Amino acid sequence: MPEGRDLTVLRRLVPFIRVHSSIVVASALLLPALAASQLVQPYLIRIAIDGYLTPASRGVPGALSGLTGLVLLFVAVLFGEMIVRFAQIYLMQLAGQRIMHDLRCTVFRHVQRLSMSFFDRYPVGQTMTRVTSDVEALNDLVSQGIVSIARDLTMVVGIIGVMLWVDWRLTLASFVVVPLLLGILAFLRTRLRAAYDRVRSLVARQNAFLQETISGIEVVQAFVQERRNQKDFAKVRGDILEIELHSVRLSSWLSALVQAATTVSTALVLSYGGFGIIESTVTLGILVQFMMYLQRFYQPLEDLSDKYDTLQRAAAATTKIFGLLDVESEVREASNMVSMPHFRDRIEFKSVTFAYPSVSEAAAAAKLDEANIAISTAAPVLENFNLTIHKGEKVAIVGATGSGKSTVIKLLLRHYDVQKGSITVDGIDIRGMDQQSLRRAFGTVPQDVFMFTDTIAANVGLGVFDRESIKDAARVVEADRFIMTLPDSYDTRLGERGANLSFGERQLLAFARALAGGPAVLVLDEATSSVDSETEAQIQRALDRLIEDRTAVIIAHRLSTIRNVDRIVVLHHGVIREVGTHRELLDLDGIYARLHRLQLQEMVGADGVT
Amino acid sequence: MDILKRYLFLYTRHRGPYFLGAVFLIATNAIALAIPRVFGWAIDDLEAGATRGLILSYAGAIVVLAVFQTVMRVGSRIFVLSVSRRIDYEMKGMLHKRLIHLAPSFFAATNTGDLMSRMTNDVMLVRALGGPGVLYFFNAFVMYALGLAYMVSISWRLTLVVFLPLPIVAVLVRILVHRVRDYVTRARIALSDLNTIVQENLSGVMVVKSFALEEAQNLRFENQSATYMDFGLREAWTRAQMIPVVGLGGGLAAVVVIGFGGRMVSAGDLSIGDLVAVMSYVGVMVMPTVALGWILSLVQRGAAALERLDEVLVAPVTISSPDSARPIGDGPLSVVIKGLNFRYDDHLRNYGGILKLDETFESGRRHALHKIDFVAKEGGYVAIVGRVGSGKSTLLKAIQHLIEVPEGSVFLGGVDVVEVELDELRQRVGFVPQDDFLFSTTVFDNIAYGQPDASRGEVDTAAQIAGLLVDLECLPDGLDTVVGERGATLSGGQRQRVAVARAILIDSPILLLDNALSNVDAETERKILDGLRANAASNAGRTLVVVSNRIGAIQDADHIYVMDEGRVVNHGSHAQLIQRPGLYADMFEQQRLSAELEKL
Ligand SMILES: Nc1ncnc2c1ncn2[C@@H]1O[C@H](COP(=O)(O)OP(=O)(O)OP(=O)(O)O)[C@@H](O)[C@H]1O
Ligand SMILES: Nc1ncnc2c1ncn2[C@@H]1O[C@H](COP(=O)(O)OP(=O)(O)OP(=O)(O)O)[C@@H](O)[C@H]1O
Ligand SMILES: [Mg+2]
Ligand SMILES: [Mg+2]
Repeated sequence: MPEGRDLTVLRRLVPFIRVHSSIVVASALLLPALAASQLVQPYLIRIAIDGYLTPASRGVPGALSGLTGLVLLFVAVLFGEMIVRFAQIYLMQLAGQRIMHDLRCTVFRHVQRLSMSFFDRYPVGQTMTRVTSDVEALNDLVSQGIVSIARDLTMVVGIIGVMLWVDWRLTLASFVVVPLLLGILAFLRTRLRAAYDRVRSLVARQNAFLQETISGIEVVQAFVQERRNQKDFAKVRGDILEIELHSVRLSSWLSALVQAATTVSTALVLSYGGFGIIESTVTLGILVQFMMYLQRFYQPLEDLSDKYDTLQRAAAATTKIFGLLDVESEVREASNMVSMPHFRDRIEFKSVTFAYPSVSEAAAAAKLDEANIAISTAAPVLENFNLTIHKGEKVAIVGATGSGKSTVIKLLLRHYDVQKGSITVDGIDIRGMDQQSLRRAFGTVPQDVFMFTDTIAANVGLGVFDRESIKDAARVVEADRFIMTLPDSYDTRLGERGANLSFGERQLLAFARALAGGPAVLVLDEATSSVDSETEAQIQRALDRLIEDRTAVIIAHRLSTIRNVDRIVVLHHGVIREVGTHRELLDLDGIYARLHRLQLQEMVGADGVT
Repeated sequence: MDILKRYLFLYTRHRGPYFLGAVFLIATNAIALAIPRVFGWAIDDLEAGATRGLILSYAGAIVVLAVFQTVMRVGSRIFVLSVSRRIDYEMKGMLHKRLIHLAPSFFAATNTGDLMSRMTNDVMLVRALGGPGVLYFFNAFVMYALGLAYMVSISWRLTLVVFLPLPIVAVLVRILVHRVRDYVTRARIALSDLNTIVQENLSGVMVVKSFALEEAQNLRFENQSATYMDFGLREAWTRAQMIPVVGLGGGLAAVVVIGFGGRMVSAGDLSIGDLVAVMSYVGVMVMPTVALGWILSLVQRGAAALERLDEVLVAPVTISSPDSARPIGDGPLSVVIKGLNFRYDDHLRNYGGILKLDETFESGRRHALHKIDFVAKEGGYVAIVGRVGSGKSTLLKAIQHLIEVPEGSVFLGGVDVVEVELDELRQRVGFVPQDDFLFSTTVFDNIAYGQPDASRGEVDTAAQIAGLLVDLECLPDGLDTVVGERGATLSGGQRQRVAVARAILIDSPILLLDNALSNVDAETERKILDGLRANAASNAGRTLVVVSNRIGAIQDADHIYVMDEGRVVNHGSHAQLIQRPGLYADMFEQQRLSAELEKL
């Protein structure tokens, strides 16, 4: 669907253009120079003919002397024109590229501010399309369009003025077709715009599909779905092709009809003017003059019709880009936010209730058209959750899979905002804090390990921490061992997501990353799930020393890893069912005791001992 | 230009529509030239005193011509521009077809963002070459042909002279074109890198946010965007220089015409009218020449893009079905591995082109697998344990033929995997990779991924064995809940179990689990493994190979392999292994110790 009128949409580009208005203006100022050069050239030719060639052809001796100077002048003018053209084109490119650079950076910055619920919903490929391809689609408009559209418009208006001044009746006669033309344009416009809107949407979908296929290629191949994948991709491409062909037809008609209008008005002027000549109300000179004006009038109009196509294309891309820029972060920055103070006392969850943002709401708010997820009503994941973590305390959260453990951590880091209750650090609600300063206080090992395509050192140090702390952290988590076997040790470059490492190795690096900054609070979400028990135990010993007096929140399924914590919270379907030390919980003989017994049986009971 | 020659078929394949487009284009131009002619006659007749009827018939003729012209013009554009859209369609299809069959080693060495940039931004340039490029080329060509014909008809000597400056211009243009090509290529690479940054930033958004890296990412993006802009501008700078160069050519031509033509006029060989006509034709031909410069740069862009696409299209498919495949039969299958050595980096050299590796590329990394011998009998339950990075996953990938195993090393049911049709092989081996990748569709579609026509009942059963039923109740739409990209809106354990269900569903004689339940609590894990065993038993001989870090979970396996640093360091049953000093006994002791400790 065409969203908004072109001008309204394109007006939003104005601030971006204005920043570089001096370049645009400079480029526009070169236009008169071009016009002048084009006027001068025929004049010089006339002098050459009348002053030199004609006498020469009559055999006047020495008539050609002095022609050389004139010729050189002519060449100078022509060359000057080319230089001006060169400057004008380059300046437009300069403005265009800068505008696109600004726009790209603005979009990217904006995306960085969005909260997790956005990323849960919008495929990576789609957002990528907005940041790069859609901006790229504006290229034609910003680097060729702006000045030439302005030029063509002035030209058209100017010519209409002159024509009216010469003979208003003839002018009217030649413009009889204009209303018809405008009607056709309006008719094609909506269709063209709708087509381009759809192209942009489909391209985003195609890219999302591609990026997912490439990311999941191993699954595609392992499950022998290459053919289906190919078929699905062919379908998306086919949809795009269809709508593209449709738009080609529309834009071809658009430009051809404008041209037809020129010709038809020529016929009109000819007959009306011809009658005038027969009645002697019009002179032949006026008629010819009009014809020439008409040509000059329709030339820019034809250009405009090409630009019109560009404009529609750009408007479609702009709509998408600003659609994304209009999405607001669901985690809002408070107007009077404070920087997170040095962690002194305690973290408190006070009767927190939380449900993941319902998708339909988010999609409606986002107004992007390819919301990944359909309607759903999310049930609360956490209900009336209360927990106080004192400084220096180590708290473990256990519970069945899907019980909401990771969610607690995501809320603590304010990836989402709670719906009821509050989370405070040292008595200050985290909603009033600067998000980044809050998060810097934590060192997190997320359940999903992610590595950047960069060196190991950069992945652990994140470009912030020094080499020593990187190595120290790597030693604590036993990553040092495998890193030293790599040809470039810490400077080894990782593949995408750490593709050239084993899973456990990646997890160790993620662990090291969380430790490297010496965070006030350590947050471990299944931090050793892909690590063997031998290595795990070694890490455990080193870690116990390291975080002796540090605050830590630990999630683990292997209960052996949490036996030393000060408090264990048992979560069940989003509700805290048990809280206490290991001993207390065993005495309580509830969920924890049962889980524990199970793991114990496995280990101790299996070989028949005990 | 070699690259263009090789991919010329992309364009020549559509020679039909191109030909029609060209014919229509010529017709359009011919009509455009005819209309002023008609008008001229009308003026002449008016001067001589014409009737209204005559005027009207002239006007009528013009209108008829206008109708023809419109149809021709629409036709020429539709024919030519449609081809460009089809080229886009076909090129993406070709690329996708190649990508989808490349081995995982290719994807481990390349970046998604880069591949995507090639498939979108670079294809765009190839398409622009086939559409506007061809259209403008035809246009310029027609103009040249007509102009030249007229000029020759006036004076062939003058025409020859006019083209004297051509070689100078050609040399200059050539130099510029070369530089344009260089900048285009660099701009394309910069754009790819930019895309990669965005792609990575979005995929790793959780880490970016948790570690407050937004500002660093912004800077990185801005720098890269500036680099891209910079190359774009240099290209524009060089490209724009073509205009004065061509202008220079035009200027020189004019000089020659006036100078030489003037002499011809004074010698009486040429009339002034003819001279003026030639002058105006030279003028007419300057603009198409400028356009030709523009077309040349389109060609350069297209060639640069094709080169990058070619890198993907010629990347070797290192794992493919053999020409004459051997069937592996329907029954239960055994897995036998004999003396398998494997080193990942050895296979990077295959992709030297796209990775820009030189001949001497040599990796210093150790073997991921070293002389591996491994046996899993039909219907057996074999476990693999070992330290981080010891080669467990690599071993499982070898069984699925997801890595480039050498001939004579991996056998399924006695048949070498390299002799087996890939599709057949992979259909017979269910695999739960360590990376629990899900697609952003419904849970149902994810479970039924390997068998899209599975019934609700089959999916339910698989979900039940994978212990998903409780979770499905919590999900807003149960099985029809759509999950985020990579399954992002599920919990870690839920995701893993969907991946398990997906592998169970295809009901294969071999099932490989790579640490598939590491994010699941002990209780659930136990249930799932028991369910799997029961299912395998009822399934008369499903061979189960399980990698796990929890010894407790796999100690009832028939046989356990212990790996360290790419070697099998020990194997045997649990009871045998705990008797032997070594890694396994240590690990077991470790876990038992902590268990015992807790009991106190
Ligand atoms: N981004 C999300 N959007 C919607 N629902 C979600 C999202 N993340 C998790 N959920 C749902 O919330 C519930 C709790 O998830 P959470 O990740 O907190 O579980 P968990 O206790 O960490 O489980 P596990 O041990 O498997 O990691 C699950 O039912 C899950 O499906
Ligand atoms: N694509 C790759 N390119 C280069 N090296 C790799 C690649 N994948 C794995 N490796 C290396 O090969 C070795 C074996 O890796 P593998 O993934 O098989 O280990 P693993 O036993 O599964 O470890 P984990 O328990 O951590 O999953 C490791 O040293 C790893 O770094
Ligand atoms: Mg979790
Ligand atoms: Mg592994």
